[in-house]
Amino acid sequence: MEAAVSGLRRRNLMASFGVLIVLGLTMALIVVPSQRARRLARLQMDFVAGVSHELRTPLAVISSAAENIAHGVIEDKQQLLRYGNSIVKQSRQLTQLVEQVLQFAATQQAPRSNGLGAVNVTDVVEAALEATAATVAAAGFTVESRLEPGLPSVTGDFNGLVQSLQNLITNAVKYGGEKRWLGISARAVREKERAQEIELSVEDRGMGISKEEIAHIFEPFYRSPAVTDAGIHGTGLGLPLARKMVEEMGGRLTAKSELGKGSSFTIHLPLSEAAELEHRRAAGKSRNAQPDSQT
Amino acid sequence: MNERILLVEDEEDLRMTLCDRLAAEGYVAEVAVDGKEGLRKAVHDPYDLIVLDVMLPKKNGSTKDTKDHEEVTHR
Repeated sequence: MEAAVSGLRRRNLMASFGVLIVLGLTMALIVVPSQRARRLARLQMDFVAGVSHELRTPLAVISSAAENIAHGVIEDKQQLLRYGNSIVKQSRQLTQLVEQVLQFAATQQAPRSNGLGAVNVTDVVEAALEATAATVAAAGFTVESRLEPGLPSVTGDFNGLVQSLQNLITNAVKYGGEKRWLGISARAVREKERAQEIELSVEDRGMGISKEEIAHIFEPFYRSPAVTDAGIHGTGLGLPLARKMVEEMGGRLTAKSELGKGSSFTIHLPLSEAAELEHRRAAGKSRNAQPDSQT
Repeated sequence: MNERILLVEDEEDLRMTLCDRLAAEGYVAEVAVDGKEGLRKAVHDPYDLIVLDVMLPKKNGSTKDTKDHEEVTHR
């Protein structure tokens, strides 16, 4: 009888523990997403405040410059020239900001797996450097390019890759500090002399990112307190946008950084089918050629 | 009319247009490029008006540094 009661108790105890574990898991399933949602909501509010400021600043410059001209405050030709240059610069910033927000909204919808094909990395670097030339020159940066010759093509979307690289270059200029240097490199990662993937990196020698911050930099809308304190403008969308676009191409975007020394962002891309085919053909030829050379 | 105005603004183009406008209205406009410089100038030199941006580098416009804040407001 006692043995039966003790067995029943044990079963009840185990059932109670089971119920408690299920309850705990349910709580975790509710709490974790709700915390994530709260964090996202806070980031979105920061984003709205940040974007409002980013929109208002160029608008304020454009409207105050236009008012000064319209009210006859500015008459001198040199001053008019300076005003013209300011309006052009601020309009460009405004356009870039709007473009970035629209692109981010587009990436949140259906993934864009179409439009992928063989892309030449050297062409991507050239196009991205051309698109950012005015920004880089205005900031007085030196660009050092190290592109491995004869790189195999990668699988990607040309425009998406150019845009991702542009975002990384713009960031390097923004956070590159007083050294005003940025390096762009492209190389093949090889295993037994066979290219496995292509790495496309953008480096700077600026303020760097702390270990705590680097975990968050790819989160949409995130802006580090160090960056906002330094008065560096931005939306917190450039890096998440670049990562999303690269991932849609089957690649990865990674970051390395050291505080006070600089940062390095690398796009890892798979080889294109054409490059893989070329590899296989070359490997086949070398296998066929070996017996001949030995005879 | 030679009232002195301190303009604390980090955006170079906005500093230029606002200073031109204030000068055209007959004010003596001086500038500071960040919160720290703005506070230093405001503490060491009396101004008739301070125009202060809120989102500023180094020390933003809404930071309350009690000691310095009191020194500025008591002038």
